[in-house]
Amino acid sequence: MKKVQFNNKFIPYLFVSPQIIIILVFFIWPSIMAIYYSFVMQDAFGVSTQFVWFQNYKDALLNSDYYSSFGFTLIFSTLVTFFSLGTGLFLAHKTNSMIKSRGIYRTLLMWPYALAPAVVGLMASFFFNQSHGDVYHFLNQLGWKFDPTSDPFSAQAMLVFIASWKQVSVNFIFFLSGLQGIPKSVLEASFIDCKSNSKRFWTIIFPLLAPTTFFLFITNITYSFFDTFGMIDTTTRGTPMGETKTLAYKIYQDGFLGADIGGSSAQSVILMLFVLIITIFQFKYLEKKVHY
Amino acid sequence: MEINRKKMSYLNIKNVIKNYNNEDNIIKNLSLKVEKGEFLVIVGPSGCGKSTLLRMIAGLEDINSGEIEINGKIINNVPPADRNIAMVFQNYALYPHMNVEKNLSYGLKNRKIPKAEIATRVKDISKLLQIEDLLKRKPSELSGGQRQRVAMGRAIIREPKIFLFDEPLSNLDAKLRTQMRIEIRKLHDKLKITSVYVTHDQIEAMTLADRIVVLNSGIIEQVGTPDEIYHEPQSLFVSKFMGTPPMNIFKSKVYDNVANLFGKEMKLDRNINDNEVYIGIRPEDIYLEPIENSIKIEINIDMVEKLGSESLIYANIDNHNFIVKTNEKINKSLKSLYVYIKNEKMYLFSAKDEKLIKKQ
Ligand SMILES: Nc1ncnc2c1ncn2[C@@H]1O[C@H](COP(=O)(O)OP(=O)(O)OP(=O)(O)O)[C@@H](O)[C@H]1O
Ligand SMILES: [Mg+2]
Repeated sequence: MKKVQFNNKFIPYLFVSPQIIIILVFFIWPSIMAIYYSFVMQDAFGVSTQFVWFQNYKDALLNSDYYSSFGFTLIFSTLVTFFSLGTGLFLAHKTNSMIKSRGIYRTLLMWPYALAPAVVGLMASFFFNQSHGDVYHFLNQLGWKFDPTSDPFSAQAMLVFIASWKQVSVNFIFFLSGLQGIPKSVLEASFIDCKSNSKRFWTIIFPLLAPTTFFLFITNITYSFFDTFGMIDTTTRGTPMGETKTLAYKIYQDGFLGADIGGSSAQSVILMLFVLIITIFQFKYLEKKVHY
Repeated sequence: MEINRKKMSYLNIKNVIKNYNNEDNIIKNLSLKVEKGEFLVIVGPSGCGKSTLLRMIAGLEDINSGEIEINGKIINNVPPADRNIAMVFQNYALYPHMNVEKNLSYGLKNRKIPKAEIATRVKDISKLLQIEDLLKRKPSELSGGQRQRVAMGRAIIREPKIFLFDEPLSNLDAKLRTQMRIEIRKLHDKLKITSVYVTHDQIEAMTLADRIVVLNSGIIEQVGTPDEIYHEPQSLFVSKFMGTPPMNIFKSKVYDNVANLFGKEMKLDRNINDNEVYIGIRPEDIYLEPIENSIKIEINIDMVEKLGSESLIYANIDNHNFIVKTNEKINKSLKSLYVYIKNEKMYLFSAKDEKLIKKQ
C-alpha cells in the first residue's frame, strides 16, 4: 500500500483530532475526574473538599457489601456470557443448516437487538410481575416459589435470563456470519473424515469460529458488566437485600443516591483497573490461540 | 480367471440422473464402470457436470435416480465417511486450524485407529510426499505446492478404496502442475488405488489416464484409452475438445461421395449417406510438401508461432481459421503457403448427429 507523506508535521494530527477530542472529553476527562474524586472527601453539599489519600479505597475494600456485589457481578457476567453465547451459537448453527426460510429466522432473531436495555427491563417487569406477569405465574405453577421481590435467587435468575435474552441476537448474527465464512469445501472434507455430527462440530466448526467467539466473549463480558445497568434499574434496583447489585449499579447507587462521590469514584477506579486487567489478559493469552 | 478378476468393475455407476432443485437434469442417465486399480479421468468443458458426478460418488450430493455401487454394494444411502473414499479438492480444503500432522491424522483418529499406527502412517506418508519438515506448520504457512502435497497426503493416509480428485492441480503454476502430474501418476503406479480424476485440462487427461471419459452436458460422449480418444474420436465434440492446437473443422457439401473443399473436389474414401459432412483434420496431419493422393490448398498466413522444435502456423482460407503444425523451419515473413491434405487422414462426421463416419 502506498503511504501518504505530509510535508507539514501537524496535518496528520489535525485529521485525527476529532477522534482525539472525543476520547479526551468523554473518556479521558471523566476518568481523570474519577481518579481525582477518589482521593478526596466532600461534605454532602460539596462545600468543603479534603484530600484523604487512599481513605476512600480503604472504605470501599473493607466493606462487605463491596465483596458481595463483586461476587454477584462475576457470577452474573459469567452466566450471562455463557448463556447468551451458547444460545446464540446454537441458534446460528441451526439456522445455518437450514436451506429454506433462513432469511426469516435471521430477521426475527435480530429484533431484540433493537431494544434498549432499559426497555427490556420494563418488559421483563411486566412478564415477571406478581400481579399480572405470565412468566411469574408459570414459574410458580411449575413448583418454583418464584418471587423476585423477596427471594434473591429468583431476582438473580430473572436478571441473568433477561440480560442473556437481550444479547442472544447480537451473538446469533455474528455467529451466523462466522459460520457462513467457513469454506464449504472444508466442511465437505470433514464430512468425509468424520461421521459424527457433534464431533465434527466440536473439532472443525467450533475451532474455526474461535475468532468470532473471542470477539463476542469480550463484548459480552463488557456488556454484562456495564450495559445491564438500565435493566437492573428498571427491574430490581439492586433489591432484594442488595443481592442483585452489579459493581456498576452499586457505583451509581453509592454516588448518586448515597451522595458518596469519593467512595463511588474509588469503586469506579477499581472497576476500571479490573476491566483493564481482564482485557489485557484476554488479548495476551486468548488471542494467541484463536488465530490460525 | 486372473484376467477376469482384474477386469471386475469396482465402481459401478448405473443410470444415474441428477438435478438441482428440480431444474433441468445436470447428469442425464449416466452409466459408467471403473475397474479396480484403474486411473479414470473425466474431462469436459466447464459446467458439464464433472464435479457433480464426483461429488455424488463421494456422497456429498444426493442422487435423483439410479444407483452407485462400490465393490458390489449399493452405496446410495451410505454417508461419505463410510464409503471408504478419499477426495482431493481443487482448493485443497485443508483444516486451517490444524497443523499438517493433525490434518493428516484427523480422519484416522475419527476411525479409532490406534495411536501408534497413526504415527507410523503419518511418518511414512510424509516421507513419501516429502513433507516431513512441514508437519508442525499450519496450512497458512505453506506454499501452494506444499498444500497440494498435504491434501494428497490426507487422502492417501486413509488407504481408501477409491480416490477422487476434483481438479487438484488447477491452482498451481504451469511448472509445478507438470511436476505434480508426474508425481500423481507415479504414486498411482505404486499404490494402485482406483482413482477417478476430474479435470478440464486435456493434457492432464492424456498423460494421467488409463481411460478417459469425455463428458458433455451430463452425457458421456466417449470412453476410451487416451490413444483411442485422440486417434478415434467418435463424435465431433470429442474431436474438437481433445488436442492442442485443436482439430481443423470444415463443413462440406457431399454429392456422390465427392466433397468440396475450398473449391477443390475430393473423392471421399467413405460412404456418405448425407449431403453434408464435417471434415476434421489435425494440425499435424497437414503436409507442406506434395504427397500422393492429396489435394493442394493455398492458405493465407496470419501468424507463425515458434515453439522450439516445431512451429504453429495460424492461417485462413476463405475466412476459415486453419492451423498447421510442422517441424519444418518457417520464414516468419511468409504471407501464403501451399499445403497438402490427404483423405485418409481426415475425420468425417455426419452433419446430422455429429457422429463419426467410420472407414470401411
Ligand atoms: N449446488 C448447486 N445448485 C444448483 N446448481 C448447481 C449446483 N452445483 C452445480 N450446479 C450446476 O450444475 C452444473 C454442473 O456443475 P459442475 O460443478 O458439476 O460443473 P463442472 O463440470 O465441475 O464445471 P467446472 O469445470 O467449471 O468445475 C452447472 O450448470 C452448475 O451451475
Ligand atoms: Mg468442477
